[in-house]
Amino acid sequence: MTTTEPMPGEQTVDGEFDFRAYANDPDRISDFSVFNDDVTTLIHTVEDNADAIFTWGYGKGERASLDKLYEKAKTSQWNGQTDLDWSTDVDPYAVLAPANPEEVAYFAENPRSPLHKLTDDEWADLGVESMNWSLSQFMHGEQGALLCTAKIVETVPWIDAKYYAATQVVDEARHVEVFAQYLDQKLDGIKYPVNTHLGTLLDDILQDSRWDMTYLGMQIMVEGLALAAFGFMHQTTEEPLLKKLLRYVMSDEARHVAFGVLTLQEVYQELTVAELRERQEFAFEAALRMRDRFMRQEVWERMGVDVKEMVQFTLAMPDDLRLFQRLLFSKIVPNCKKLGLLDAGDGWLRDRFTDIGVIQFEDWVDTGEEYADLDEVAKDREMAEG
Amino acid sequence: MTITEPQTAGDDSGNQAGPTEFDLLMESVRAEFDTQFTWDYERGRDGLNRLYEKAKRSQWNVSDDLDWSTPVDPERMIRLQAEATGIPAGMPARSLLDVKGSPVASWDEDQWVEFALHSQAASLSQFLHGEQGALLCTARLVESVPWIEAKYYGATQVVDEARHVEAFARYLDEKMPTTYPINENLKTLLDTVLRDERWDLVYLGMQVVIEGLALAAFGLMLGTTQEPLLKKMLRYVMADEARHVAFGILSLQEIYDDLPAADFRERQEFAYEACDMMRRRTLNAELWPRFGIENAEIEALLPRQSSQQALQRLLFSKIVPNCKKLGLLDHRDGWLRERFQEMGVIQYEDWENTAEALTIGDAVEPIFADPTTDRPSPNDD
Repeated sequence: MTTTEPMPGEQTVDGEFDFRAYANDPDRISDFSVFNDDVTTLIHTVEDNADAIFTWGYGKGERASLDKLYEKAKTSQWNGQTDLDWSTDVDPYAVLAPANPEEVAYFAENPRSPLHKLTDDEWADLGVESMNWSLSQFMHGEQGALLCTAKIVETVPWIDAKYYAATQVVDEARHVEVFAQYLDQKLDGIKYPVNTHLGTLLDDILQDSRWDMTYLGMQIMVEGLALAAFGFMHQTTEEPLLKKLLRYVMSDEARHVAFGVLTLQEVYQELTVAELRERQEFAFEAALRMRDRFMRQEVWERMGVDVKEMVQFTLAMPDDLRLFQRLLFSKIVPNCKKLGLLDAGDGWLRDRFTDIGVIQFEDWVDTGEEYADLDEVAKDREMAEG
Repeated sequence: MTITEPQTAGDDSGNQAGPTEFDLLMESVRAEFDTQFTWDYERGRDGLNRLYEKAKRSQWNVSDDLDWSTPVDPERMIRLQAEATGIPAGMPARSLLDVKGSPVASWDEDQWVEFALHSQAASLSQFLHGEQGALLCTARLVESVPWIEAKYYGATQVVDEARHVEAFARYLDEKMPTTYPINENLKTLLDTVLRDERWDLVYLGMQVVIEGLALAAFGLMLGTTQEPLLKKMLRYVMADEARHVAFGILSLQEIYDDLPAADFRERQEFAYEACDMMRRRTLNAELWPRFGIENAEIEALLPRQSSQQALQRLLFSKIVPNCKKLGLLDHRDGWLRERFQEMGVIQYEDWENTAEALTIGDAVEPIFADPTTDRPSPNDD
């Protein structure tokens, strides 16, 4: 992970690294050409450096909470083809992207906004593009999750975790399947390659040889953000097929984040302050890249809007308008707190989350406990059995 | 060729029980391979698509679909099996009775029942460890195969393999006297497959050779045991395994279609060496020391032991036809055909092929169609 090297960027007068300036450096954020330099390439290869671990301790249920999660996962499987009604007609212009009216006003009404001169038609197109972009990123992220989870099956040394992770592999395959099918059949195809910030994060997670880093990166950060983003989109869209698809995906995701929390709680108890600090830095860098990916640079480029100006204007947005960007962290922050990452050492991660303005979520409900409430698949089945 | 000999001192039979690493609860295998993302999400491979849809509907749950309250009296299980099949307990090892100078010449019936019971536990233990190897190999495949359809299907197989580990581990724990450590040859082969950086060799080693052997071995046990829980468990596991072998065949056929001759030869050699390694396992090697007999004593008698060899050969009844189907048998002057002839297993070449059975009809349904059992209900409500 790049955080082990000194971070480039601003130093304050007393020699302390200025993380706030680093986080909001538009040059760093808008340099998104590195990953997708050739969008015609169909295969992207990442070196896997981890050892496969056999365990000869087959005692199922030694870790009761993971065992419970495994049993839950077995009974909450659903089928992307038969549990969703793919005959639903979808008008792409009626599938609303998540949008906060005040945030829209900030971009539409301010004369300095790069979007100030957009016509109504262009705003509608922007909505459709943003939706396609969001779902494309979800889909690529789900493929990353599929590969990371397969890696966890190989590398985690506990049988209860291998069992549970196996169910997650098939969950992730299902998620790639349904997002790809939705884009293909309902939204004019997959128009956006994987975002640089997301892609490089996935690469880093896959390349790391320490198995707990795969958990932290994928289960806590990427999945935690996905859970929040899906929830936001689920609330804002009126399109019934997408609504149900997201509801079902979210009930799986809640288990996935719980898996990360339950596993890492045990692992982190054994770590030194220095080792925890590495995890804190990893979490911060991941959080930053997840935030940066929502700058939607590829959409601005496609719409003919100046990307860097747009990033700068977005970063200058008043704090009270950043509802969506903040809510993205509403799962990550409490989960990091539950893991003890916020306050380990001298509270380094608390300071960083304060720097990027998301610390207020620390006492929201953590996902180690709420996954059972989010099992929409089970709820639908109970209702059907009436 | 990278298959290395197992490190057992002083024998070339490839197996020895004695002290193992079973007490060490973890063992790591250095993996050097690439994870591959594919940006082509189009589902164009019909055979694999059908297999994926099939797999989704054929999931079952070890906790609910098997009746774990079934009482199992292990000794009675062995005696019933002997009665029902007409094969005395402890066969084929028991035929060593007739061999001159045999260390088991004085064994009575009770000892053979005890031996047969441990033999059953040892077989189930190897199934268990092999399933864990399959779990790790299949996760590897999901990471490294560059086709979206294969990633989708492979994901269902990961959860299948976890279920199999769960089932065998539970059966051994609750119903059998003991669990045996992994056989050295099996471990060596699994490590070799996991270490290889070429993803198609993971398919060949795992899906064709190891799963093929497993399918045959499960079939043999299913054919002889009278214990209802074990019977149902094996039937369900085999339904999954048939898909797994089909997955290997369907994928490799496409790859082998345009593989250069030299690369093809490497695959032939790999298949041969993997089979040879499994063939050179000594039957019951984990057991003899437990009964106070050195493996070397038994091995000295083996060349005269035709029934043991017949059993070993039968285990290749799935692998040989699948290698034929893949074109591996007759490529380059039939190099692999000659090797299989030397091993005495070529007669299986035209046995029913797993890929055809599964894509044309449904190999899975007939297994579940047994009137004594219910097919797990699909979650398609």
